[in-house]
Amino acid sequence: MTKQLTIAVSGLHRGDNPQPGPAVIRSIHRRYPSATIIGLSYDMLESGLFSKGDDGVSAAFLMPFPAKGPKVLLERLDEICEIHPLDIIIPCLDAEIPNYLDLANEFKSRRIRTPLLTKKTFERRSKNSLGQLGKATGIRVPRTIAASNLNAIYKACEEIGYPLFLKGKQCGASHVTTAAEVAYVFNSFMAVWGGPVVAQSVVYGSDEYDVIGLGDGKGGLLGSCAIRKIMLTSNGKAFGGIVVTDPVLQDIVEKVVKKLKWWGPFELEFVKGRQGHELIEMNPRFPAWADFPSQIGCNLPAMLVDLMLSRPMTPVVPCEAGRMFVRHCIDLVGDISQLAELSEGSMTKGAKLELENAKFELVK
Amino acid sequence: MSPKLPTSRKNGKVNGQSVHLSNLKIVGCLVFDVCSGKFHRVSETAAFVIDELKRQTPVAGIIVAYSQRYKISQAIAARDIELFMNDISVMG
Repeated sequence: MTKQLTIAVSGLHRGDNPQPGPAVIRSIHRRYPSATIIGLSYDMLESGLFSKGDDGVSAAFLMPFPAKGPKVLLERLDEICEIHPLDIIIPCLDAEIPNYLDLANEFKSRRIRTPLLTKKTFERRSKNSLGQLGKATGIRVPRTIAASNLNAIYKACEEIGYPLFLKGKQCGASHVTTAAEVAYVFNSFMAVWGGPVVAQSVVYGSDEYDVIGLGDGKGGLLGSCAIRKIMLTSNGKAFGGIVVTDPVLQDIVEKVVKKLKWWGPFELEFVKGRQGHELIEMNPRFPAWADFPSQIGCNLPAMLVDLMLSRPMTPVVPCEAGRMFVRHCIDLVGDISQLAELSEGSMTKGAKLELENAKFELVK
Repeated sequence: MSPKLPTSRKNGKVNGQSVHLSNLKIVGCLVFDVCSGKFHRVSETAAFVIDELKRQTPVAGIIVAYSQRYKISQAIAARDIELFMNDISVMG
């Protein structure tokens, strides 16, 4: 009998800035319906903790913030493994990944599969390396200058010219129109993510494109899906998208993956201006819309599980242009007993069952 | 007699960017560009003309088909088609 997989997934909140975790879980469940999913959470109110659907978790654990470093992360994961021995961990948040890369050997010795990306590759796609990546691949990228102090960021902004974007090391982007806004935005990003903060010129174009993909670590692309964002949230996140099949865009994606020898999931973000597609960011994880391609035959999270387990991979179906998604928010029911249990550091099946029983009694 | 029109059009411009007819998918009264992901609502007659252009029907042939389909004279059909093709050429 095949051993049931236990997979830990993070990034469980689906708010106005949705995280990828629940989409990754749902995609994995499509291929591995009996997989046990362990949620790694940073907040008791992460919405995915309360889902009883295919995107829900069997148990959840509160995690130390990534800034605490790899040692603290490993200690917590060792505690979790005593209760639920993990086969795979899929970190879904940018800020977590460096700690996992630092701990690669520790995980190997524990026979836990984690991202096989190298730190060097991770850095080569970072926001402050975008210019070099553009040069190395011949892909158009916006002018980007990294700065670690206030004087340097003012200088960078003057060089690029207003308006521009200031971006945090891991997350966050703010549109800055005058020098008066720089200090506040710079200090906010430094406080949350540390340095450097990146100043990036604005790409003028009405169309934004995102590409989700999976690299094999040898320069090959195992699968991808490109969309044009057709609805955006106030902070520019895709709330709806439509599949495109653009050979020019596909060629750019293949060039990046080949150059970086990228291993694992990624999201490439483009703006199409007068001079074509400009790469504005490469994220080292699945995007929040990862389950959309899974529903039309391109299940990259399930393929990632196969890749991590060195199993034969089922080729993904190319996504058909014109297939589209629209995000839909629903209200999930929770109970104070779940919060009580989570406040102790974890939520196991017991709390969920208690809740189900309480619900049953109510219905009776 | 029909006004003189170009014998074939392989592409036009939308919002200043080239649109190749082969990239267009007509779904009811929506024209979807599979490459750019943009879609536009068009009239039934516009969808008819674009569909014929995609099939690489010569413009003279489109005029005949259009006049028969909508029961109008070929002169009016030719004028309509010319205006439409001018419109899509300068859009944006």
